[in-house]
Amino acid sequence: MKYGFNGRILDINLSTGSTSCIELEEEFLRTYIGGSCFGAYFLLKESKKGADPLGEENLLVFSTSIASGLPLPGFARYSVTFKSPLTGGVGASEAGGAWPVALKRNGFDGIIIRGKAPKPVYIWIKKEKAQIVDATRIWGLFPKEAAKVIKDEVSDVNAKMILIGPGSERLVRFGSAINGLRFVHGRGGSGAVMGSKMLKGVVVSSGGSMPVANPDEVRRIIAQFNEQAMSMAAFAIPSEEGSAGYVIFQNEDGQLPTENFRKGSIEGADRINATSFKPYFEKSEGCPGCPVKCKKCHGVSSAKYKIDAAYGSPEYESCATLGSYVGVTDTLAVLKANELCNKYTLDTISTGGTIAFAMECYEAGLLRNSDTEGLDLRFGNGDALVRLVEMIGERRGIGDLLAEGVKRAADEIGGGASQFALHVKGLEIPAHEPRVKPAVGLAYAVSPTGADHCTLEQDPSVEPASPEEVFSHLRKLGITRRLPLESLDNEKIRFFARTHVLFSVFDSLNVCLWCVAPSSYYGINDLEEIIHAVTGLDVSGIELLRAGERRLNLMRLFNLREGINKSQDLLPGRFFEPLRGGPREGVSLDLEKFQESIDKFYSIMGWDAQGVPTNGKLLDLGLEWAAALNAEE
Amino acid sequence: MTKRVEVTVKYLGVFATYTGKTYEDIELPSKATIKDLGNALTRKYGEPLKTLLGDISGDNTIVRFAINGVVATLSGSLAEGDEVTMFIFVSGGG
Repeated sequence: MKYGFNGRILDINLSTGSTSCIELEEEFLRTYIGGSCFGAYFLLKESKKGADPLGEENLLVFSTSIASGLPLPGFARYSVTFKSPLTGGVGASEAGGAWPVALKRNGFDGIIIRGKAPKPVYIWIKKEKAQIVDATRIWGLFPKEAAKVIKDEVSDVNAKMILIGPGSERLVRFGSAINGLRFVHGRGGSGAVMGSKMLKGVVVSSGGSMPVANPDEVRRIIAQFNEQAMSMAAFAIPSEEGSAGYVIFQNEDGQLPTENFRKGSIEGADRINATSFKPYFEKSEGCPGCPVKCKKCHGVSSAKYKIDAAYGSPEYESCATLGSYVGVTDTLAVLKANELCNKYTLDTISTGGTIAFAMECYEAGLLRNSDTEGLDLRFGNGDALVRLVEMIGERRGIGDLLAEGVKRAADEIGGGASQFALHVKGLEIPAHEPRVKPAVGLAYAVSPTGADHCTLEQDPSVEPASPEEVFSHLRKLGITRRLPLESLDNEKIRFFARTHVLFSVFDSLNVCLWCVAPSSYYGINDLEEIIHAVTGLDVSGIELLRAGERRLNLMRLFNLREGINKSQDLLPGRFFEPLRGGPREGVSLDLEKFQESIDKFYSIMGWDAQGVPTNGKLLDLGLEWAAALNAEE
Repeated sequence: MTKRVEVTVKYLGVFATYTGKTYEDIELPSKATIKDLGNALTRKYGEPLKTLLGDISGDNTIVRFAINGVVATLSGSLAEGDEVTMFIFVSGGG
């Protein structure tokens, strides 16, 4: 008997309307673990080289792991993997919520979605069966309204659903898939891929169960988490205020991206920090089984803005990208822009980054009032921010161009606009400052998904002021020296490479990044224990780290196949210019040193000077098949 | 009589929530350090500030301190009139 997982993935072709199952052997599960490691495996193996990301041939893979999709703190999570319409390379994004728990309870560990439906549809899954249902009636609706109709149709008021809104339907390249109205697969354009397949949603019955191997042990792990983890300082802000409570500290420290990363702090940052949202607080919510309840919901009913708490409140990234990034410190404008992003299902990071780009173009005279329907796009204009989010979601006016993301919009605008287009491989930059945290810069440059802040333990964990309880986890990874925050020496590169692999484990296992060490609770030994309690399998930390490395290599191979190579492992020029104003004024990255660090990272990973995994490394990871596949192309 | 120093503590974000203040003057013995200030605040406010400050005495805290805008270690010494700001260790985002 299987525990904790089903060993089965649903395979749906929307072009033909066929559904089938892929059975997963234990050896496969141990090798690839789950999450976006599964996703990368199927994407590389089963998608066609050169497929249009917004075409019929792209694949969309929703996947849990051997231990995720369970109501266990940090484990009610899953991934979506696809070819990104922004980067043309692998797109992968994780989210929490009740959906993955429902999926596992209804007999599947994941879903591969192929083809394109001839008309709008949603997928309905119940008791190991899947059905493709006409969604014409709900196409164009916001997720909340669509969810109401679907619940009636499937006669299940507690059905769990991934949905897209009108922005993703209109193929905004940074459209996001969203579950439970507020648990978002932010990055890379998963919603746009759903839209291109005419797929409004993936809906799962609320019934079913998923037995675990050792229920007593699982109960002990949960009790221990509730007692020990919840008394850790690391959970204080997520639990009390949500990640939006970090804004004020980033600002005070001079590393809050401001005005398209020209500056690192902004006057009035307290107005876009969580404490300013308190008058509108409605509730805290967590993923199933998690006591942290980091998801906050604020509702507003003012004359100017009505904000529906059902769509959740901005996380740190969203406060920064829809706030300081665009020079806005108007509390309600930021809350409204975030709500609109979730209604239209747009990635808040890419949306804010794209609007900041447009504002800098406007300032430089590259966009004029005649281009913006008279909208005054100066930095700091909260009303313009809100209007532009709507225009992007509707692909109206200038919004149609911005819906393409900064890379393509800059090409269209021309005249030097590309210097304001901050992205890596086409993915807009998140709200962490690489000039202050160079390992984050390295992650942005080499991450297979483009600029992604969730692919490493960030520099503060290894700096001299890092708490012992954090640094002790790094020691176990072989990092022995504390390093200055702004350093990028060999030890910092090793630190990055090791934690990059570790975070790849987290995205394979689908464990919440708020819950894992170094910065938080679960160490690698805890992950071993959890897998054993849930599945009965003795999977070692070494095996997990190998799976994490395997995922990175599969993604690298996929990108190489799609023509994304070393030439795209870089950072925008802005980060090699000094930061203006604030406590970190003058800080910049050294271009030559940064490029050297990329070469050294390749060496550590067992890749050649061009960043191509060597045959030896692929042999080591048991990925000969992938090398052979790429050689055939 | 033992000499004392008075410093101003600036409370941002969650610190303001936990203390109910945005600024506060704290009197400490002369030659006091950041660690002494942390311990004094832990004694004064108890939970939940205590959880956030962690084990200051054991150098195990996610809180970073700046004296007059410059990041300081826990052994950093305080002088009359200093302004101390507390930061949270931010190693990722949501």
